Amino acid sequence: MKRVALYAAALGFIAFAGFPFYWMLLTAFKQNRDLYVGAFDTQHVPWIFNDPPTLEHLRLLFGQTDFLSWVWNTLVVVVAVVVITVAVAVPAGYSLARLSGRWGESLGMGIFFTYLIPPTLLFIPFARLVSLLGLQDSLGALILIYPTMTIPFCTWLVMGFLRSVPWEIEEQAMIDGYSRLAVILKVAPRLIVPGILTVVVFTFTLVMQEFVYALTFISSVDKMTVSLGVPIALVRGDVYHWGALMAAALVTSIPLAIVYNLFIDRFIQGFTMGAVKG
Amino acid sequence: MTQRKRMDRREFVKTTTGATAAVALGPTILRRRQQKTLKILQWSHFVPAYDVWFDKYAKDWGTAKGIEVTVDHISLADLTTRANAEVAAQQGHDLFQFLSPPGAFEPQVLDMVDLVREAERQHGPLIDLCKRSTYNPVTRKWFGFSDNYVPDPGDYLKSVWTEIGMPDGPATWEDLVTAGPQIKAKHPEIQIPIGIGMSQELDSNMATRAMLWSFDGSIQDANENVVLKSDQALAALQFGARLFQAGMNPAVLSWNAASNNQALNARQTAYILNSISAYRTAQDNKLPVADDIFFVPALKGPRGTRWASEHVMGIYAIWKFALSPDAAKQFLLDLIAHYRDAVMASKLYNFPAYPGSLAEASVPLAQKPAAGTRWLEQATANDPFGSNPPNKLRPISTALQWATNIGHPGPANPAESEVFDTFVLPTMFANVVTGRMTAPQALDDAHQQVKRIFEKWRARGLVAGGAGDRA
Repeated sequence: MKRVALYAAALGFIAFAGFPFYWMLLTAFKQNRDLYVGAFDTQHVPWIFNDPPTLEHLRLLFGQTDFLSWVWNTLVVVVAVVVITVAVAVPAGYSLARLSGRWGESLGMGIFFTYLIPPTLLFIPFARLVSLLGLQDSLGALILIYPTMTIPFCTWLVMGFLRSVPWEIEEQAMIDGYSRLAVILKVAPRLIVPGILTVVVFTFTLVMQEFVYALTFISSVDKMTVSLGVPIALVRGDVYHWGALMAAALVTSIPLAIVYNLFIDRFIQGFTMGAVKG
Repeated sequence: MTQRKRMDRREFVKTTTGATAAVALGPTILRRRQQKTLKILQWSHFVPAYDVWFDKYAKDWGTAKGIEVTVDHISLADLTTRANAEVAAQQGHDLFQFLSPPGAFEPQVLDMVDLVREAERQHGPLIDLCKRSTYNPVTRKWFGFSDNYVPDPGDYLKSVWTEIGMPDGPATWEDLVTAGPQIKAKHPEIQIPIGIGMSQELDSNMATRAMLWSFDGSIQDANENVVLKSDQALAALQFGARLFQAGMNPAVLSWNAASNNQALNARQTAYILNSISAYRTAQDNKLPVADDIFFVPALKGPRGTRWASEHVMGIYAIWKFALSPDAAKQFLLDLIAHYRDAVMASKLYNFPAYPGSLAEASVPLAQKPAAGTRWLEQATANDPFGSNPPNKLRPISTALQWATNIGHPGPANPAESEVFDTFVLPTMFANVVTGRMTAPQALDDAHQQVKRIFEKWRARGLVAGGAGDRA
């Protein structure tokens, strides 16, 4: 009985998690007349194909928009921001956790609080900065600005993670002859691999979904990222092209889901280890 | 002691190759730098074909003039955010198209007076609705150049309204209250018989203004005094609460600009206030509901007053920091000269700000506005885009009789723009229908907000009035 309940609960969770993907898939291939069905038609079942599936929405997405360019631009920005974030947040988190004593904790919280400032407050001063640097309407603007969101949180994340890793391991390495720098470069990264992966996945997700800064700094259609290009091309005035929107959402969310699933254990470890008082 | 350095063969080859390349490419680079550019930003038009037409028109225009034209599109909801960013950076597009009067940006834009005068010289007068949306009488500045407005009629499902004895749809606001329960009784599957939004979005902004004006209330008077707190506005608010009870559900409190379109096309509502976009979408998607959608003009209030906003109004602004203001002005003038093509590309969605621009070129100037208006009436009376019956769009051709500007009965101004952008009116209605405030409380709350906004802009010298503000 207990086992049945367990499986039922698991199935419930699977349905809950999988339903958005199913809905995206369904909508992406449904004919419009199957999507907009009158309330009068009580025979219509919304969660199945009532009419034969169509490729019309995919043709709109891939044939009449710059979707592939947006995917490419997003990848460029994601990779650059991930590299910058890891390069800055990991040493910063290490320094604050290990080298700055009591001040490190407060400083870490201070850095984390900057993450809480909403982009809607910051986009105007950032616009001035981007203009000053001549980065308007270029991916460089996003590569410059996004780390200001990702680094504070990731630094705090790495700090929390390091708290759960015994300091004695690094101390032992130093006793064995490693310099501090060697410990930072060779020993610490191996100890906090789950933390680094968490930073990567978190950054990846944040950059993929960011909209306000992309809207502010990018105006050329061919330079847009997915999160900006898709609504601009497929939400026209007060008309939503639901089929193509869902197709775009599906195509971009599947890789993200795969990344999450590949590293799910380490991701959970990364988030939870720092939460345990060592 | 200095030693004279001799050039070896490799260095010689490098230097001469470099010099040759510089000589060869130099003029190209110089020419490229001297190439004039024109950058335009506007919304992703709800008719994709319009963007295709516009982008090609702009490109061809640029080729003919030797100007490199770039057209960028963004969603209508993001225009203000983008405009703020460009102003903050003092960099961006030369031409920026707004969809409601951009009064708040007046200090940042060029005066369009010369352009308006020239367009009027070529095509006849600008319609009053557009003038009052783009001209600030206090500063005597044209802060925008309107090329079009979009009527905002009522869209209704004829079969449903026929069943309740109103085959021609509603004529008054009170008809909606009468019809709501009847539609519910006959068609329990229609969840929101009357689909008028009361949330923080464009359509709700327009609908609540239409309600307020039709009850003879307004935010400001003709002299820009704040007069929102009035018996008429209170009556409009109380009516809004009755309407909500009679024919709506809480979904209208969280609607976005697409909600009424979707609800009508899915037959989840029997009446919306919208442009023809919902109908055109139904047509394009070959939905059976298309043949059942019909239109009515603005609804009458208790004393017979009948006003509605324009659904949107295309208003181009040229930033003071624009790099090519002259090219931008020339582009707009030439665009107006091709406005019949624009109206057709938009499937009769865009109506011209200069009706004379729709007339044949051979028509004398004095007769152009009448000729243009006639052409539009004929087009709406016999829709070339497959309406059934073909004269279905006729009611929208009368839009100038019942459409008015944001700021009515005064002009559009920065304060009215801010009231619009901060959704004061939809919030006021929502506060009442949700029971969060009584109607007098909500009215007083909104009135005080509006007063603060007006005082701010008066302090900057951009808005008149004040002496006649209500307490």
